[in-house]
Amino acid sequence: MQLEINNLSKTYPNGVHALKNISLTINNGLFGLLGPNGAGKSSLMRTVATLQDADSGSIFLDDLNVLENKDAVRKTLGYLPQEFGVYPNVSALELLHHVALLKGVTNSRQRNELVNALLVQTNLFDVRKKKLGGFSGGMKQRFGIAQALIGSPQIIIVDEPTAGLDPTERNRFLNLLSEISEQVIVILSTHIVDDVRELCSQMAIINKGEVMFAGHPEVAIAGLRGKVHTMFTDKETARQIAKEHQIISTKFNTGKIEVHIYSTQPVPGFSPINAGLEDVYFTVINKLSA
Amino acid sequence: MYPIIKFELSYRLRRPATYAYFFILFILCFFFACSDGVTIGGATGNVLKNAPFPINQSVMIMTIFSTMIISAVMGVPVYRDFEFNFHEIMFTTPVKKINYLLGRFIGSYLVCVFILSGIIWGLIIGAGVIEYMPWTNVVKKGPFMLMAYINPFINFILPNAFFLGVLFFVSGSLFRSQLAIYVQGVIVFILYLIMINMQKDVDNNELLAIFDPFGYAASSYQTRYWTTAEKNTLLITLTNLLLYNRLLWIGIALIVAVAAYPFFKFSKTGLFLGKKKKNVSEETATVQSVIIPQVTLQYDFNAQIKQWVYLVVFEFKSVIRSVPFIAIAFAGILLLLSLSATLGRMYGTATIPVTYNILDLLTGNFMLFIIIIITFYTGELVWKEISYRFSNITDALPLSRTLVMTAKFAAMLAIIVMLLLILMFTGILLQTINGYYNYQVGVYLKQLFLVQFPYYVLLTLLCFCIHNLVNNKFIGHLLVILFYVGQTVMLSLDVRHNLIYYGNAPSVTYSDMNGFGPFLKPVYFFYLYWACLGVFLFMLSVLLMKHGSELSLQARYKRMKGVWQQGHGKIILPLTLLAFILCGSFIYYNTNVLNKYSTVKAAKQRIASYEKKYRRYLDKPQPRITSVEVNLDLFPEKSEANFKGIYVLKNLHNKAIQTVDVLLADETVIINSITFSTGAKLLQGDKMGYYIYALNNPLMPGDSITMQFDLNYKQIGFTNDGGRTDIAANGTFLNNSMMPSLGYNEGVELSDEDDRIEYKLPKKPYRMRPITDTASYANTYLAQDADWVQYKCTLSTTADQIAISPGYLQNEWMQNGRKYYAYAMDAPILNFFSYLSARYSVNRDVWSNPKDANQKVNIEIFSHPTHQWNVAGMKNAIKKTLDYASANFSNYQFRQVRILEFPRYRNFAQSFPNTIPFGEGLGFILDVDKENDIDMAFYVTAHEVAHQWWGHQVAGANCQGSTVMVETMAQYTALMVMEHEFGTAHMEKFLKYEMDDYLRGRSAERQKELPLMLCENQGYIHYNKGSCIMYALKDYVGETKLNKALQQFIKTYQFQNPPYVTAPVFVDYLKQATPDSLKYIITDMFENITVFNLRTTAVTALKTNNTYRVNVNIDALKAVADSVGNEQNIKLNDWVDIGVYTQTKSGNDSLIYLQKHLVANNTKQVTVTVNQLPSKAGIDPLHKLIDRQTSDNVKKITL
Repeated sequence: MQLEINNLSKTYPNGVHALKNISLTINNGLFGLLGPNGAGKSSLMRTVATLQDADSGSIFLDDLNVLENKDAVRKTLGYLPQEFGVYPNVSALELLHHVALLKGVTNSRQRNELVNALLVQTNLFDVRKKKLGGFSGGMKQRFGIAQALIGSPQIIIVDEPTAGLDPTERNRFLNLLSEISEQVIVILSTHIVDDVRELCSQMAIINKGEVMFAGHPEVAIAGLRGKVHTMFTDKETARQIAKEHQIISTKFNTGKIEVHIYSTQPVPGFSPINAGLEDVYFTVINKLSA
Repeated sequence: MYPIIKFELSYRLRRPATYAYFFILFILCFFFACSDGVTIGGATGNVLKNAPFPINQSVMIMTIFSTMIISAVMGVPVYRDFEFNFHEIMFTTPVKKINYLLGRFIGSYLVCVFILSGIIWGLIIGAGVIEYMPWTNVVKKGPFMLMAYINPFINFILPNAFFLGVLFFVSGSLFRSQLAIYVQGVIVFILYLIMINMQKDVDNNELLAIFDPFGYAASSYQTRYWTTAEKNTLLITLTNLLLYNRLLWIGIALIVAVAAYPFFKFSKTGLFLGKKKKNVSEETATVQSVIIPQVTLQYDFNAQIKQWVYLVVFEFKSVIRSVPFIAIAFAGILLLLSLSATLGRMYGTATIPVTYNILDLLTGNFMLFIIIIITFYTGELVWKEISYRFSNITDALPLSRTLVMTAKFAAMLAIIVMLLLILMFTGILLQTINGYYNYQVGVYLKQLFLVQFPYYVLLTLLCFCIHNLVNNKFIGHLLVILFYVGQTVMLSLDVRHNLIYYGNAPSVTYSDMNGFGPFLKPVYFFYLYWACLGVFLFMLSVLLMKHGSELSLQARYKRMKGVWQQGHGKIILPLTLLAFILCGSFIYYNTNVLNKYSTVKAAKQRIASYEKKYRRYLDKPQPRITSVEVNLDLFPEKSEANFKGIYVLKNLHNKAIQTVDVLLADETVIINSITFSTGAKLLQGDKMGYYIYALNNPLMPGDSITMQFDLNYKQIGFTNDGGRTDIAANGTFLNNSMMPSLGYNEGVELSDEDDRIEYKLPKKPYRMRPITDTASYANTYLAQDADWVQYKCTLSTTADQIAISPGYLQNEWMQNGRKYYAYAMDAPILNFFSYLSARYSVNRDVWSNPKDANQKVNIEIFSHPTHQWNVAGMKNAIKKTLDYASANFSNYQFRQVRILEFPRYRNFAQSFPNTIPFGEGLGFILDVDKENDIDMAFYVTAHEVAHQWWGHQVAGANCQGSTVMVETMAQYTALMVMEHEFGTAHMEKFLKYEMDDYLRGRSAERQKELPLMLCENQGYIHYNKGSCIMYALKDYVGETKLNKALQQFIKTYQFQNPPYVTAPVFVDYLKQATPDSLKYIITDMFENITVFNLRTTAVTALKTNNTYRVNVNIDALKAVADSVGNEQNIKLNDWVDIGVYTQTKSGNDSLIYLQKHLVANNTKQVTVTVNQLPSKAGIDPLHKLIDRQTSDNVKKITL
């Protein structure tokens, strides 16, 4: 399976240029899509998920033209939207059956097995008969995951899936995804860098509708080797540093301010460190390497 | 608290909705006030547009309809804090609960009052500019009266907004559900309708006046008998019942508020609805690795069917389980059950719950509920995924949108079917409870599922279409409501063609006699036509429906352009559109080409042109019809009638007649031929049916000729209303208006003043010729071209029907498979004939005159075989009336009386010579409770039989007052027959209705009220007032004496030749029977409009030995009213009843003293002595005199 996105562009009626000439090639496995809020991640995901059209460009899933054969794509698609609601007066079991049936699992024996398995897998089996209206955010999110896995999808799109999950749940879910992704394409959009670093064999960083980076996370990290330097300092100095250096990030760490800067040369007072994916992310977003 | 009020106000005043509501009310009222067409306020006739009464009505009605707005404004303040999660901030601030709630309430209430003030502003400004409006023909406007606007604002807007506001605020705050907020308005509205339905019974009025939460009934009670003059000048005041009513409901509102206060909690969840939202607690389950099983995905036809059926059931369940649905449906059924109590009552008499009666009752009232459910739930279903944001998941499913939408549509239909079935079972239940077991399930099913269901289907299609297209649910609802309003507005603009009203078809009247008559076929064509459009719109909207994340219409249109040719749309859309056009053309061909389609305006225009063109022939000498012979062939199945006839025309003038003017007013006539024995040439003739023939040889004075005609009437294709019902497959009822008449007929002219101005006709101050116009004495008011004629006729009809016309059956035979009947009269009769044909069952009897053994009269009742309930009562009424009238007035002139049932398309009974056609719904399905009810069948029969004297022996001249000798006297005869049959108590009850009808009738008079003696064919005067007057006259003069006078009158004038007798002559006979001391009553009763105001202010009683002296303190006034109701007090020196009651052991009051006392203006006390313990006493206790306030005539006695 290969998903080929070519020169995809989209401008909304309100003038927001959400996607600018995006081209990506995505193979089986877990693909991480990183970007800040408003970068165009969800627009891209929705376009791949057949929920909206592009102004120009194309998307191919192997030989299948995604933009023109939406129903064919939907048959192999699992989609967990960033935002979704449920019918409050229906139980998780019923609504999962609902989605499964509408997705084409019309054989009721198969559907029962599938739904039960998914409920167990997402740890909802014990509350399956409870009304969804009483579910907490995390439980609802797990329901969303369960429905996205219905019908052995070949391409799974999950938009900010770990939001609202506790660490255990998050791990559990990410493990599940990476297990599934051996056979299928999984596109995981997130702004949590760790999610990507831990799991993804491919990734892209987009910002303001543009692809800033695409490739293997390790390749990206390798590209920054020797270019990231760090220093622990105080607020005042940090402000001074910002004027003189290309700052990748500043953050509090055990009461001090940890500053990462980008520099191809060693910098006095700073010690070089091994770049992390987060450094890659900020470098790319802030266009420091250019 | 003030900051909260301020916050609420400033928030609201920034919301466009606030101004939108205000503007809607403003605009509506503006148009009510400045347009002629819309008259919700009752500014009809001479009532001025800006008079207090119509302003008050408009404000009340608009306040009632503003229920939804009040609900939308008052229901949300607290809910809003929760919706926007503002409560978390709000309720952690140290604001006190009482301040929070009061602040929110007061702020919203002020906004509400502001919005409702749009009503007042609209009315003020609308009335201010009325004369500048292009459509204004006549300005009916008085001086501006500020109080006329302030009073209803204080009486209705403030208290209603308060009461409803509290109600909605409380439920909105406690339930905190959006649906609850917008459904509660509807539910209140529905419950109100239930209440209003009980108003039909006169006796319930006062109770209703107190308990009507909107104050409408209390206000109506205050104004129920107001005359035009009073409507124009008097203010509706906050007194008596209206005051108590307002206080009551403000009090209830306060109690509700106080009672609900403790239930309000500053916590997240609302009452009741919140309980369900118990948070689910998680239990940590052990993580076990499970393999997700492989499944096969199926998308074939079978799979789609499975999905479709599943979705239908899913959506169906989701609707019927929702609380608002249950509430609305339940309210509906409650309404139906409450209605059964007043099932088709006339004068307090119930009707037999035959299936069509029950169906009329149920469907007419339940329709609103079904429409509300369709409107709301179509919106809910279409928006469901999006409202819950579940669409983000479902839109990415490989699922056809057509499948989803058709499933939702089918679910909606299933709901309607369920409601209709509930309706049917409710109907059957009602029938069973009432002991009626002939259920006619077929009629139920046909009426509900073939006639009504398609309309709901079409409505549902339209609602789906609208909601599919719009981007906001509330806009969708608004558009649907606009659609309903638009249709109503179009109706008021006189656009009536069903081709224009989406979903409309001819309305269907089921009759036991004629079944569904001619209606079903045209109805199906219209439904097919609308279905084509409905399906087209539905399919189009499905192609355009909201899907995915881009919801703008442009984006959806772009998407549709890309895909529409791939799907079924490519075939279905053009096909339905083509079928729509074809079907519409076919209907148009039927309704407008084969038949004539006419709007009300066009019909009036036609009459106006007729008058303008032909009135100049009004006094043109015409021959008179002296003999009529008719050959009528009826083809009921084909709705066709062939009239062949011969008139003998005689010149009664003293000069030769050159031309004969023939009038055939019925537009549907086909004239095969009209010929004259001496030959004639058609000079002119046009669509208005006025034909002028020049006789070849002038008709000399005293000479006669014959005129032959051959006319054809038939239904070709169908019309906008369905088709002819006068010639029915079973139950034809025609009269001689379908045959030619001679000369200009003044009777059809437009009589309404406004109409006459609009069509530029000269003013016509009289609706009948004035009494001074002696030329009018040449005709009776029944015909302008004949006096007493010889009559015979031959009728033919299908083999299984009986055809009847006035006269005695001479012969009957079969010929060519058709049945023939020959009838002839052996004495001259008025030129007034009927023709009926149906499959009748005949019930015969004979009346012998107790005073003359030789006189025998055959009684025949021709009725529908299943309608036997009232036949015996009718026979009895015929006999009793024959007894009474022949003993007291004169001999019955015929040897036969016949009553003939006709289908309920028309609802009256009419007396032709020896023949009385009688409406199916009027007298054949009554459920008379002999003890308590007035037997309507008996009453109507007696009235119609009395017309054989009053009408068919004496008929007045064609001028004012003549109906007194016909209708009033028929009423009097019926009253007397009933009094002898049922007793005085029944008469009191009957006269109570008559008095009420008279007083209401005069209140609704559009032009002018006239004294009884001069009435211009005004029903409320010659029937209702006539009854009251004649009964009182009989009481003053005595029955025997009065009848003697009537006997003399009828003997003098029966079967007279012109000039015909007039009402003043008749009244003279009555005057002569009246003793001198009472002569004034004749003036009061017949020559003036006299109104009394009789009050008992206090009653005391003193016991002396075994007798009681009762002092009745009274206050009596007598006034004369002019034609619009301006009253002037006149001297009172009249004989008036004083009555004393005692309480019997059973607790009823029984009259122990009733005597006439001379009462003058200065009479303040009357003292009488009785020998039983008195309970109540008063003046005119039986309401013999016309008095608008009857409840103060009698008072309880304090000993």
